[in-house]
Amino acid sequence: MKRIRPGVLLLWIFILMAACRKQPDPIPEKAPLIDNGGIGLPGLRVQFTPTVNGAPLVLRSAWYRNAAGDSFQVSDHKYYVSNFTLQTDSGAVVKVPESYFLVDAADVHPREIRNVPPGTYTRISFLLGVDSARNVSGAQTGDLEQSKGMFWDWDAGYIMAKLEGFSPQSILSGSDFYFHIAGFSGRNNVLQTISFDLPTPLLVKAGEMPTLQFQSDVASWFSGASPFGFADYSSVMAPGPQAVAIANNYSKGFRLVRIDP
Amino acid sequence: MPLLLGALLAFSGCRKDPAIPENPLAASAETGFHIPAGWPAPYYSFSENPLKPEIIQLGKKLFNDPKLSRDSTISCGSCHQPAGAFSQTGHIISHGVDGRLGTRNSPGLFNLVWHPSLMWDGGANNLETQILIPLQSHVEMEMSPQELVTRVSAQPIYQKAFLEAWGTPEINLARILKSMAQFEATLISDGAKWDRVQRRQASFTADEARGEKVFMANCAVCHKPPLFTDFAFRSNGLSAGVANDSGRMRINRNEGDKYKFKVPSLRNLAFTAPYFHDGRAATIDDVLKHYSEGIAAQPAPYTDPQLHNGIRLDATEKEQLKAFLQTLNDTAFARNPAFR
Repeated sequence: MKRIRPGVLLLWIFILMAACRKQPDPIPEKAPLIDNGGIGLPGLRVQFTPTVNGAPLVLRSAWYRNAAGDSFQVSDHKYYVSNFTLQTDSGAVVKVPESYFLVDAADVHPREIRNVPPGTYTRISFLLGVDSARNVSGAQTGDLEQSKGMFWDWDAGYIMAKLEGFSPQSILSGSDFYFHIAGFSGRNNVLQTISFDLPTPLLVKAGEMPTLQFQSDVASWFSGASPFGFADYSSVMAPGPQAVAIANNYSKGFRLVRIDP
Repeated sequence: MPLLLGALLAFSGCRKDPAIPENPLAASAETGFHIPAGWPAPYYSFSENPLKPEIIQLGKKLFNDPKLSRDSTISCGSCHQPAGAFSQTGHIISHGVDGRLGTRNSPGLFNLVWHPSLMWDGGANNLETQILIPLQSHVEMEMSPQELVTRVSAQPIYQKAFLEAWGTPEINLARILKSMAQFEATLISDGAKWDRVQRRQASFTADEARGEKVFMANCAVCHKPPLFTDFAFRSNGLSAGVANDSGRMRINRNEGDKYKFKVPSLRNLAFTAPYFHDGRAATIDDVLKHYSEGIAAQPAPYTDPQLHNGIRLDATEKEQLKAFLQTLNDTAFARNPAFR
């Protein structure tokens, strides 16, 4: 039998002990910046209402006009908002864990953000889309479940925002249009962080559930830094410069309208 | 002896630390999963999907269930058969629902947890969500995720299996995908002669040893041991072919990645014929002929720079290389009854 040299053994002990120390935290990425004490704390609601030029979007029947003068109807409009963070009046940042909401124009309703520590908040931020980590983390549940028509079946990743409909100016044979905005890395990254200073300080305390009313604007998809009409693009279905430009356009269409008590 | 005790203490101390999560891979004897000695750490993270024998069995059942296709004719296992190292031996292109044909050869499935991306074009970034690609493909299974959940939920046999595997009766897409990923994760192929040679349990014949030298000098940069791929996207100089499949460029729209495909592993070649992304090479001889003479005879501008002059091999070197490649065949894997 081969004799084991003490020096080698010492080395092994050292390696094993070093390995002990290097064990990562179980789920570090989900830890909030402030320990909010767990479930049961007060919270708030957010509601996102898709609009066109100020009025709530009506699917499939209402006619709208974009900046290029094209008329169009919308048949499907969805987008993800996620990674909500709140800032207190003293500047501390509360990261809300597991805050992923799919906004669906066909089903607008308030969404609850629980686990917010009591306090006075003056600023809110969120990500328009799903962070890159969740795009590569396999099967998900809840609003992120890959069965909502918001996950690509050829280049795996979330569709961050989707707008489909009909326009006589469409250059597609069926006069349809399809915009599936996706891409989470490098130059194809369409993720946008949206931040608002709150019009009045938001008091979060037990027994109250204030609702932040947000609006998005479908018309903003077609205007802003990169205006376009259906004659230019009636279909954007892949990550790339067009998707990035459209995401930049629609990120400017968000408004915090009011805070309902 | 005190030193040995020290080592044991250090080791057990490691395991007793409550701050350290239980190793999700610990139950290897039960699950069949293991990390072969000398291999890198797996790319797939088991932290959100710890292996469990009942989940693996459920995944195998789903993998082999034709109800996962629109017309209940095609299962994952139709095109990924155990005896073919989970390829479909002898099929240039496998057919999907309604006899539809795609453009690519069904690859063998093994050692998948080491792959940073999946599919010939790397379109999948995770073992779990990869399943959604063939599932929904028009030329493969053509199933919507919603219909998949509905169908699986309707089967009493699955209701029982999900309860046993997951602890509650809920059947959702995430559980389906994670179960199938667990089965695929256990497809470890490390029982080839090459592996036994690394473990000092066997030795190469003279021809195999000379073939290994040819291999290391000409092939190993891209087909890097021990997985025999570097997982990069490369063009090996094949003509665009009838399908004019742009490969990696289809995913990232990068002109520089046109006609590039993920370097396939060279393990289990005896079971995975035909070869190349579109199955155009029927035999290993055809493959070697392409590298040795084909690239130079029909130069393609997008060919990987390392292959611009092809790989010149004489007849003897080819035979030696083939002898070496034979040592990468894992018969025990292809015949493993646990996979059937």
